[in-house]
Amino acid sequence: MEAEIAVFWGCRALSGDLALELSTRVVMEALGVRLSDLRRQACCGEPLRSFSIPASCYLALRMLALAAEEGHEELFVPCSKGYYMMKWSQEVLARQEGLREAVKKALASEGLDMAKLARPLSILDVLGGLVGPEAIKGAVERELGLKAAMHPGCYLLRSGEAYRVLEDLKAVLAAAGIEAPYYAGLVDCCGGTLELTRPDAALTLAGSKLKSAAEAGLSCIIVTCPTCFAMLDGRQEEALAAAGGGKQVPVLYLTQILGLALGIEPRELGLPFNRSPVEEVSP
Amino acid sequence: MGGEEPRVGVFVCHCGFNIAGVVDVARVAELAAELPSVVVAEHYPYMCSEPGQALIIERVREHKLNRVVVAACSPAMHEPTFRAVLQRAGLNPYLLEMANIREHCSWPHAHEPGKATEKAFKLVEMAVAKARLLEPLEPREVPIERAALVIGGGIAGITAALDLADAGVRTYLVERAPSIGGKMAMLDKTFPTLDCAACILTPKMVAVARHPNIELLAYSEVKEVRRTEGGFEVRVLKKARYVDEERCTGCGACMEKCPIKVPSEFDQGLGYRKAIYMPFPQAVPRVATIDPEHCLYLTKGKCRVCERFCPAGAIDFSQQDRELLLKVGAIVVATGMGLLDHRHLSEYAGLDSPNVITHLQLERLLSSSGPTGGRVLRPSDGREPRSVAIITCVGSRDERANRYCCRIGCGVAVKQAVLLRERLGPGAEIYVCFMDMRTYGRGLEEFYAKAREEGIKFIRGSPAEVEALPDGRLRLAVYDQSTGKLLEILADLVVLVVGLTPPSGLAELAAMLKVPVGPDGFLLEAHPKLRPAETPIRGIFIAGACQGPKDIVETTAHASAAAMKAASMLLKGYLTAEPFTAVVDEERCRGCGRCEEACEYGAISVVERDGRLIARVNEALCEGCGACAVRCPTGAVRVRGFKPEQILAQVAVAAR
Amino acid sequence: MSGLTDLMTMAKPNEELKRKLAPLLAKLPDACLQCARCTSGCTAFRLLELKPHEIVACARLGFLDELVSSKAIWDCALCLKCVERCPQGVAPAELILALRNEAAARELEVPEGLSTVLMSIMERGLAFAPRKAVARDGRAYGREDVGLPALEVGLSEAAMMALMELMGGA
Repeated sequence: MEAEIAVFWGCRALSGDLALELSTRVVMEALGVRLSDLRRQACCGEPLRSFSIPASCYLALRMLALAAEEGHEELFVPCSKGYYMMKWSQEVLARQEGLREAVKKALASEGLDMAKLARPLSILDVLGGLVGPEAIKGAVERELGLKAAMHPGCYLLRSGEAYRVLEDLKAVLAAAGIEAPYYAGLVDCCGGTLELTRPDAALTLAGSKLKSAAEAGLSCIIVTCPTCFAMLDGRQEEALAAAGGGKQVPVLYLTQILGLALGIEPRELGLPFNRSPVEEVSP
Repeated sequence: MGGEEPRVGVFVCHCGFNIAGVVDVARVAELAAELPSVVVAEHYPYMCSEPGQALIIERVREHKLNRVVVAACSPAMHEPTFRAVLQRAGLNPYLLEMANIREHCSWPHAHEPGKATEKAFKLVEMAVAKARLLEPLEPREVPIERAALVIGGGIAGITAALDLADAGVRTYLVERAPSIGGKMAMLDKTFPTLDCAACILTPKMVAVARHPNIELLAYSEVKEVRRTEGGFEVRVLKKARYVDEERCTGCGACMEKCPIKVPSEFDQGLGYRKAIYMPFPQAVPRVATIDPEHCLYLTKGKCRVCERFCPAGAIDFSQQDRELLLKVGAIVVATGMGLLDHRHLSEYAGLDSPNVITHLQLERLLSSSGPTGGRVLRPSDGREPRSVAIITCVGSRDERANRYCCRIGCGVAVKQAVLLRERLGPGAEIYVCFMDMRTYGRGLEEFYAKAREEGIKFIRGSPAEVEALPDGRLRLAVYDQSTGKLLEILADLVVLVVGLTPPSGLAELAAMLKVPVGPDGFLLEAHPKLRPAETPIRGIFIAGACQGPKDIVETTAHASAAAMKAASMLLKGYLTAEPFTAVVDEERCRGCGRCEEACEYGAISVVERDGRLIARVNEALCEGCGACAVRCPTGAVRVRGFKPEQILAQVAVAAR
Repeated sequence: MSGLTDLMTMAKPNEELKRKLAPLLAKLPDACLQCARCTSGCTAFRLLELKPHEIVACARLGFLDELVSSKAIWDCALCLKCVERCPQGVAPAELILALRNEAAARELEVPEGLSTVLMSIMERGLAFAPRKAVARDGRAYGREDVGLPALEVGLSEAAMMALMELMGGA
């Protein structure tokens, strides 16, 4: 199948999380989805929520308005927090006319129209919806034979109905031959957002999450969001130390593990940039 | 109008502060007195009270009034009251017109008294304009079929059917499951007395089967309902059991031999039944049923073992579904309730454990006729649990699922905790996590106290999620508001008291009966306080949980009420219906048939008479909706009491 | 003057602040049933003793100033479990964000991690400063080193001004 969508990468990818962007680009290409980078990219505003909710909503809607201005009806946002932010902002602004007017004015200062916004798409919307499990299954070249701990992450899980998100994620993984059973701690937070205000507690949460996966006997953790990746992969050593020790767990992006199933080389998937022991699951 | 000049009396009610708190009732009466044809206009605090009614009668006689306007609450409240007043005053009761200056005026416009007063007067003026044109009318008596249909064979339907039958009414009881008994048959004990549910229910089930006035149609469904002159004509589908009901003795030999196992619906999926089965040992009728979706012979043409081993030769694979046509005067809907699927709730999303069960599933474990013979055993390994946590309000009082309270959850939780203590012994840990404890009703508060005394730990807090640990135990965290501690409970079994919903198929049945449904999906009663067992539809009554979840005590009271309302109508032999029916001016009618197309009730049709095509009204079926009158191109069809000139007189006033 | 007083602190309800924060909320805290399900599952409670149901209960009664100046509101992990599970749709995490907004407006102390991010957004339109990624081989790689296209990143002047205005007006 062939499709083309615009993509907004988000702050983490744009400031150095190469694994997300590399794996997403190469997997999408393999699955027939052409990505067209949004010309102007900037923060979706999520961290600004604590300072000013209206300002944060403005930045989120700004991305959707820019996408619409560039002629796109949909905008793929691989970062779960960005995706959530773009949906949530519209909900928040619907609550009060004063807020709407303020953001409308802000958008208008750049010549953007609040009435013309692209529709945000999550990684599951693209892999599970646009591409579909059938197409993924058809493209699989390698039997990974894995039982993984899926970690949807708070923002993807809570951007819609939880049971549906889990069903969809399971289906995408199953299509690639990966079993992702229930495990105690499946819906727990990795501490990624808490890192900005209470870094000590955040690491304990991450460590707890790593332990849950290990205790359930699962071979790796699959994340979708770069915030979760930064915690669980990037800071795994510290996290395990904060949680009182424990075995290291391979942590991969959904696109990375899919890429492996599709027969793509680990290097092209950015696996050299993962700090966790990904060689345990990578062929 | 009878050739006499209209002499109108206007009576404006204060309704305490309901009207007078907003509308200047004295002023309205003052202005009304100036209207043409108005002979007297007065106001009074409570027009519907004894002295208020007496006032109207006095004025009618004093001033020789021949038309009365009462400006007060909605006619839905007191129109019958004031019609009776007119009758006592010697006037035809249909010479009354009401102006609703409460629901249509003082209540919605409570913040604008000045404008509300103006509107109230306008409404009165409109009522006077119509009153002048009112004609005396006679209510009509519609004969009705002295038979009733009860839809649903749970405790509500059984109670209603027995009450109706005892009153001498021929009653059909239609139940879609193979046996009557409903949810109550699934229960072990009932709160607060801990009566055995089967022991108090089964005698009633047998009474239904034996009652000379009841025809029991189990494994049957209502397919179509038509309004007729005598009430209703109902098409019922009696599904084929593939077992001869006359021959089957209920011995159970067939069930033993059948090779196909199917998860048992009656056991809520915890146990098995065979493809040929009786849902439970005390089933009524005590007849086996073959499930056509799983029977090897009916799906693949093999087996027939049951036929070989049946000592009564009752198996009949050639049996067909049958259609029956029932003629009844009243219908009592008693279709019960369903259970919410908690797996869509975010806190249970993805959870995969056989040891997290619903309260109804626990009931099956507790029941001696259940899959474990009444022993409480964990579904995963058949071991007795040492620690059980019961969580209430799962999906109830919840904007994401059921907004309403399930009403019986607290009673169920306390009951099941007490029964668990009985079965598992004093060493077992039993926790009940609740949001609020609503054990109202006779004996329930004392029952709750007893439960506390038995060392059951009641925790005021709602758990957020239940986790299944790798070793099979369940873990939940709950914030206990009383101690301020975040508690972790490790349980072997978790029981969720899930929300109660309308039963499957209720929306379709409601549409068939034209009975309205509330925003919560349950059937809507005629008045929430005063008429809970009736619907706005003539001849249709409601009993039990189909009107909203309720416990057994409330259900039996409700069902008897519905039976009484139905019986009082049926035993009179006729229905007194309002005279607002369509009437055809045969001179003007040209038989075009548009009225027949418009009528939802089949009450008007074009017939041939003396070589002409002419519309004819069946008064027994006419509901007076006026759809025909609106469609009629010549104005030949009019509705008594709502004729064009009457309505246009009101419009003329309103438009000024 | 309200007849309600907190006898521990002698504080009175601040209805004005409650009205001010209301437009930012999904539902008023008044809708809260006090079931404490949010606290039962709160990610931050076990480690930091954040009690969302208590915050909502205080807000409901109008005792907002103590919440705005508390450290507890910065302990929220924003995991959204409470938002997902509240049977009344009260969204405690969003109430906490609104309280944080008020604290920021009053120029109270904000955790360093957040301030750093804010300054980064103001400076370059990104929450973090771009840096090279270190691979297994010990070398540092930038976008261009792995063949990723250069992208136009950052906020235009107009956007920056509009942003400052919205932030200032909070």
